[in-house]
Amino acid sequence: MSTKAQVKMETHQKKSIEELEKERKWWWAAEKGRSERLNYLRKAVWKKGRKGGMYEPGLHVDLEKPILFTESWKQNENDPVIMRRAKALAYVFDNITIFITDHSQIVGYLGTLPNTIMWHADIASFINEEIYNDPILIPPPEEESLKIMADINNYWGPRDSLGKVMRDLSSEEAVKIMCTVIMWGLPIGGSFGYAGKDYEYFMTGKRAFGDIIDEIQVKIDEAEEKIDGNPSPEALPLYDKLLNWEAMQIVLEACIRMAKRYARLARIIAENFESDSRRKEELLRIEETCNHIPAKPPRNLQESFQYDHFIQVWTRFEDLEGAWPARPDYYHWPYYDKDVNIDKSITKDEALDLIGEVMIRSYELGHYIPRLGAEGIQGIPGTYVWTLGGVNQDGTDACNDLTIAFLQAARLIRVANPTFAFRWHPKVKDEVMREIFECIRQGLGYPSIRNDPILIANGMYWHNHPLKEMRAWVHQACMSPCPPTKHGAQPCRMASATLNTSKMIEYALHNGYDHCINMQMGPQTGDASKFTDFEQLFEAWVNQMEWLMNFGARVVNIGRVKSPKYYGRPFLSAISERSVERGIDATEPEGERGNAWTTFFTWVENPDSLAAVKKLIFDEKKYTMEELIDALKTNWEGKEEMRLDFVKSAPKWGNDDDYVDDIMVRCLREAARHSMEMKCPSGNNWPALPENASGNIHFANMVHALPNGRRLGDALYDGGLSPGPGLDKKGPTAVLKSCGKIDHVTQGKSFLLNQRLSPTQLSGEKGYQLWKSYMRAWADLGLNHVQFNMIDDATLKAAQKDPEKYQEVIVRVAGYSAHFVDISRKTQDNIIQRTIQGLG
Amino acid sequence: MPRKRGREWDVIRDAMLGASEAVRSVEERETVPDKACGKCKNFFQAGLGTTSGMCNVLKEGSNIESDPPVFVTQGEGFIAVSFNTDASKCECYNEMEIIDTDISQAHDPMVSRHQRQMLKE
Ligand code: SF4
Repeated sequence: MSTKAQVKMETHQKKSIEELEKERKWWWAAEKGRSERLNYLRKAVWKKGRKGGMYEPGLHVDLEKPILFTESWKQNENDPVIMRRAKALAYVFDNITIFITDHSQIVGYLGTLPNTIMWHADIASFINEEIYNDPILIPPPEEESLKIMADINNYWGPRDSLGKVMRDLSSEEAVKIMCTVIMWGLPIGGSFGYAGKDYEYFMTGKRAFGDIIDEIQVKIDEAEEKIDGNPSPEALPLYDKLLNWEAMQIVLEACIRMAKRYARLARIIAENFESDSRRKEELLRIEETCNHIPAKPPRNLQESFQYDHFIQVWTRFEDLEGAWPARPDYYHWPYYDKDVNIDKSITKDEALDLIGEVMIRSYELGHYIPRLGAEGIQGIPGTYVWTLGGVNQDGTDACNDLTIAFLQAARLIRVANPTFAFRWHPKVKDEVMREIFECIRQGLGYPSIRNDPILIANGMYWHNHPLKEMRAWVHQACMSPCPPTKHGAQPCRMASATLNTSKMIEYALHNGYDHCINMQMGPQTGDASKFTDFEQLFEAWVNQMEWLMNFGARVVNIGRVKSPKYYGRPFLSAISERSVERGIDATEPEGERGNAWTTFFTWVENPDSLAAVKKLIFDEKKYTMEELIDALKTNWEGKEEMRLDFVKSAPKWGNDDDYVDDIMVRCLREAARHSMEMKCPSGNNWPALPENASGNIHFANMVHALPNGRRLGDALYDGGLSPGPGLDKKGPTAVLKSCGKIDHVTQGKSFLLNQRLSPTQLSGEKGYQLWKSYMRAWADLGLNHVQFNMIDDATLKAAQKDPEKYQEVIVRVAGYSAHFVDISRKTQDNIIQRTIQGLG
Repeated sequence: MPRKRGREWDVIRDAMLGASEAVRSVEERETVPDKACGKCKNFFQAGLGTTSGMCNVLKEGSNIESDPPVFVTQGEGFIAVSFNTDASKCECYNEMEIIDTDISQAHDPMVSRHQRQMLKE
């Protein structure tokens, strides 16, 4: 540490927490407020997200998992895919190097060292090659590693699941996916998908892995009896079911053995390497915990957290999961209540230590995600959005002491992942709202606020989820509610139904031709320069919209139904009641209700562009369509005056202006109509979900010039409903009113709204009251989502200049938070450009 | 739009997938010719992995490595090329300067190059 930095740190150390908070030095205040253990653990953790395309220097890809997995795969060549996968996973669990971080109480990691990230070599050879080409991640000694990696790549090249799915699709579709200008993600199991979990099956304390193994054994015995009886068509599917059940058992038993390896390691450290008696005790408690769970249900909070954490780690050993559906204050509450309130076996502070550590253990988990995926969620390795609050299945308020404890722990450890999304409803108590506000005021950017009654109605409307199940909903990805129940949990939703929807208007204007990659992509919907009225353009837009939505949904449907064949998930199956009961792989749609959605990245450009054309060309006749198409083709070159006219004179979304707001509603109505026509493999609907993550930056160079005045390369708008940065001129109430014109139940699955608020205006009690009345207006208008950034421009600009000093500044990007210094310059600029709204 | 399941699309798909499915030695993976597609302004780096990409100028039927090379500039489908495809015979080669050398910016497929082999030069 430099002397200057040392002096600065010492100055902070002399100040009280109150003084630091007054100065809004939240990081320093947090450091002072948290325990020594949390302080150590927080600082010892390696970030696993990328800045733009770059991983943090010092990180390496872990070679043990791909080596072990491949070894086993080769050894079991004659087995069916599902058995090979189960055996390979078990082999990894039995042999991979494990470690226990000093001072930790929760164990389990996705690699062999804290600075390694996991590589799943069996998913996509594209990704394998990208890892091989990565400038940061090659483990030392480089020459040796490159040889090992080339061997792994050469083996999996023709055997990966992506190649197989790409050959199931039409070759035209496959090529268009691989161009990656219209969608984000891959239509295969294992590829950064969002796996809903059946928490109601494995997390309610009724059963753990030992019980599930027994349940499966009963199924196996019954099936074998039927198979050995009179031959019949009913007996035939049992052969495949038996394979699935056996695969589930193999993995569950391997999980129990892996936990016991941690138990053994904890004892070895305690007995041979630890002199501190308190730490010895902790290590022996880890031993006891890992000998008990996951075989048996947890008995206390530490065991409950450990059980949950192991499950999260193991699902990520199996699959490149891109999200982290969870509802920790609900499922761990009985243990917290028992330990802290009833038995008083641990204090509130000790519980806070465990909660903080659970979040840190989550923050450190990362696997290699393709650059394409990483740029859409810059700064983090996946959208770990944990759900808090909400209601119980009987409709009563589900908030509890643990909800508050999680919010407090978040402020103490200040990680960018996991983040929280809070299920607001009218019965939420003021003390909880104050904790939420404090998190937002302290610049975390989370929790985002979700409107529970609206979203419960939404899930019932789109997917026919029953009321009780919807009341249990969790975020399947950053924005999408899904019940964690037997028939409601969606085990797989591939990221490739994430669409670059600005292409809808772009293709409507260019007859389906893509000027970024010089090829015909969308359908030919007519030469727009010849359109004589707005309705012709709108019809072309509807056709392009339907084509793009169909494309995204179709390839995911195919990827999904092929998943059991190419990429089965024995572990996820083993923790899903539907799969255990039926002997099917979790990715089989049978018995699943369906919870699909197409994510609409870069959406708001559509209504803004349509409104600009309607007003300036067809209403006011200031320009002709020929002039516009010509200007767009040349990226407004030599037409700056005309471009500015399209920016300034055309109405923009978010100003409570019916002219453009009506177009937004009309577009969504059309998309909603078509959502009911598209069906997922379970036969349910495919509603749209406008949001962006950081796709607005990722796609900036893949969307051509647009009539809202945007040039090729300019950042796209940042949210699913957020107005363009700086274009919301009429204040926060006008933004809310525009958003309130949309029916948040029937016109889409969720809509993301980013708001920037002023930290000075919202300080003190007055600030809280202002925010609360804003939230009342938000709720009254029936919006389903809102999230806030509350950091001033000066801090953000200073962080750009001197990133070293501002390592811990967190911002809400969209649907997730990231450390400001971990996102690309363009994304940083885009956040600064967002309008700071004054309330009141 | 009529769907095209014809040879043209098969060829492009197989070329794109082939870039990462082929067995290659470390040496082949590490070698970047003096003139390579990855150094050309017309290389559109695929979002799916850094090895393969598309040529923004030459269309299906072109072959810059054959003797003599074939250049087709009309047609619907592009040709798939890799960042280290030898471009010494390509008459459309247009050298670019790599700006984002620490790859900390988000993807601009026309100008960003993320390969260790390209950056270490
Ligand atoms: S070198 Fe030739 S083939 Fe390669 S990208 Fe450039 S123009 Fe295309």
